[in-house]
Amino acid sequence: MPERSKLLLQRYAILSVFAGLFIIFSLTVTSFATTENLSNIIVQSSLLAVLALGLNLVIMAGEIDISFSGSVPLLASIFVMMIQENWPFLFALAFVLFIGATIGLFNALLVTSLKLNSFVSTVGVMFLLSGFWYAYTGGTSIWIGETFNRELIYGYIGPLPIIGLILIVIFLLLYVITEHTRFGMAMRAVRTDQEAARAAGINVEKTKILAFIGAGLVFGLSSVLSVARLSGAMATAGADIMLPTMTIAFVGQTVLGMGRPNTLGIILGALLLGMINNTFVLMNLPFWSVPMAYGIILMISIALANIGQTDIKQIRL
Amino acid sequence: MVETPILQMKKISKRFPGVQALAEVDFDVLPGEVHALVGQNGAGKSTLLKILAGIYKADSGEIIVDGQKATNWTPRDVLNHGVSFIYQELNLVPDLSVAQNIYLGREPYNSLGIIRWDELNRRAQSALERVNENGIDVRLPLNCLSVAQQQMVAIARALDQNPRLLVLDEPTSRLSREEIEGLFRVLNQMAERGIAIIYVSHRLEEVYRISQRVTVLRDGQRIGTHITKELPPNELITEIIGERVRKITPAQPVSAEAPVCLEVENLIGPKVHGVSFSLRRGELLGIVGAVGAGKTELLRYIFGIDRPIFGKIIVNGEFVNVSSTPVMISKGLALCPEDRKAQGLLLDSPLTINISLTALRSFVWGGWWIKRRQEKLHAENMVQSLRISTPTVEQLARYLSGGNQQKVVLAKWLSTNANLFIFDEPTVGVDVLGRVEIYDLLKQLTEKGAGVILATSDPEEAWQICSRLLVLYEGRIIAELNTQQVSLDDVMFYVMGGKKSA
Repeated sequence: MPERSKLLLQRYAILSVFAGLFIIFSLTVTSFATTENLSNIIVQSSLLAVLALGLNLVIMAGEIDISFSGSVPLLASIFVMMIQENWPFLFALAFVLFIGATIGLFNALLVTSLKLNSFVSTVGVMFLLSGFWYAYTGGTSIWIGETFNRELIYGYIGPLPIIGLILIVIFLLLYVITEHTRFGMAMRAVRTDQEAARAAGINVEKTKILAFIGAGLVFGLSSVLSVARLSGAMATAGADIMLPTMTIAFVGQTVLGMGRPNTLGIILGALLLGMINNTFVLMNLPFWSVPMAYGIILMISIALANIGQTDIKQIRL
Repeated sequence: MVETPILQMKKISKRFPGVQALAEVDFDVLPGEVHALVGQNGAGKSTLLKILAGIYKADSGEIIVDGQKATNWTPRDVLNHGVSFIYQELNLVPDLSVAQNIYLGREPYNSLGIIRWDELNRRAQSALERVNENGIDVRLPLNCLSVAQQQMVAIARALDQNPRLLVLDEPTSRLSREEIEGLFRVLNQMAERGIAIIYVSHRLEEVYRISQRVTVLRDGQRIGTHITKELPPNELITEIIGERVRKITPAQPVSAEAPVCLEVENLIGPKVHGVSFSLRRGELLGIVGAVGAGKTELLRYIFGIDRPIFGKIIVNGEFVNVSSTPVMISKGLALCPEDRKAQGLLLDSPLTINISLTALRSFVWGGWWIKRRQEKLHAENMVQSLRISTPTVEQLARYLSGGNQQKVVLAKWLSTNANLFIFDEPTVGVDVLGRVEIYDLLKQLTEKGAGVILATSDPEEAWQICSRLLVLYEGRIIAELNTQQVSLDDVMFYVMGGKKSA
């Protein structure tokens, strides 16, 4: 394939899939392009989008953090218990964020001090946290009940869903941090070439630690969002979020054809998957068609990401 | 000495297990001076640079900056004293923009911590103008630039930090002639402004073009420091290689009637600019060139790993039109690669499997059942005939010495019908005894009628054992030498890019 068309394909393929599906759905599914449904898609996508934004922070610094699959259910149940014991909402939120950041720091130290592979070590942390969750809750879902007003997060201000506004605020914050600050540039340098980053005077370890802590904070916030969404802390929450979140994080790298993890791509990736999920239900497609569509999108993304790479990679003598 | 050196290194010694990398080396550099540092691979240049960069600690000796002794020389001190390094592998980030690379870690930002892109881009543009690069859009990703432009970006970044001492390690290995001229202009301008420059190179011509003084290292010792223009090139070469006598009998020159087994005609590709040569059966041909001369690229074309842009490869009289390694193997070619650990050996497999790997077909019964007993017998034969020193053939390849690993790679190819052997740096990491044994094996191969190519960056090795030598320099063969008729100094002269009217 000629270089140019390769580049075009890589740059715009997923975006075209997104736009194409949007147009097809608008034309063929009557209830799709209504304000109510579009607002629904945003509401349904935002929890995974926020999680993926957190995961993306660590990916941008060249590592990965699977531990959220253990930490989110644990933090959610801690939050529920605190609310049930009448702690103030803001205090419970702050506490959960603090624990989330601490878990992030712990993950970071495993990677930067003990030099462990972040994939394997955070899977370890995931199991560890799941264990805590079992010990803490006895392995059952806990409902939050009437003490907590979930309209605080999943309500509407006029036609605008509050969760959508929360998503926009977090997105803007992370977008500015990752694309327009020294820290953001440092993360990109660390991910691409640690030696070059060091040579430019960047503290590689500090950069990674901050990325993990940032992700931990976002995961902490996500756990509160998940409590509001599910009206409690679910026993299956961890397993339910892990793979979709990772899918969004990977698809997000290719949406804008930048070939690198980026914050805007995460939002589009989350909306793409949310749109498919929503519309397949509207169209009464069988339930198994949704994971199939996710799988196809993910494979296309990875293939696109690889087109750029195979040119660079050569078999070494 | 009239001026105070910016930096002085006094009696620097560094020992690594088994080698004295540096022995009481003195080195200094004056403001506004270009001081060349030369020596063969392993002479101690990079160790000295790493000590200067604060990456290694010297075992003994002093570093004196501006007349003050530095007690604990760390990378941070290096930065604080205005020492900038430009390594061969540039240390730039390919997917950041040019401007982002120049200011990486030093981005200007406003009170909210947000980078001021306008100012960043403007300052990057003027930093590039200082090194005479006006045509680059600083917002482009770095990987859109040519290697020479990237080099200039690295220099612009170093200069923007107002260094007092700039260290360049083989900066021209990937540049064209015109690009080198551009680099030299910039370096001269910098020197005029009083910046001291340490210039590491293996190219003689450049040393004479750019440097005022030159220091020669050999086997970890400082052989001498000279005013460059007062030292004739042949004396410089003698200092670099020392007095060397031929200790090994070179392979016999092959008769002109011997059939040609490999012909390469006008091969062109990145880093290889029109190479032609032929190899006869029974000949031991040396291809010698410094690191980056295009040796590895040339061999990859011949072995069918990469496809050249232009040119012909003829094996045993047959034109091979495809770039395919399996085809080349079926034509009788065998390649013992430079990085034998990664490419030639299954480190965690026993010798039996390593040796039979290329010839599995001959040990297979009924298409799928490997006859392990025969495989083992074959391996034992090979171990005996190549004198591979190992307790048993079940030993894992990992635990063999470098020389013995090389022999296992060779055994692997001897198990096939190969009659044309290409060795890329076969003696790297092999001790003296092992080397002599490998040289003997190469000669034995030629005596059995095989054509053998020894590609090496060590002129001494090529000169010692090959009958004929091709010198590769910047992707071209610049000399064909009969080793019986030339001295090692002559070979060295060509390898360093010297020109002689024939």
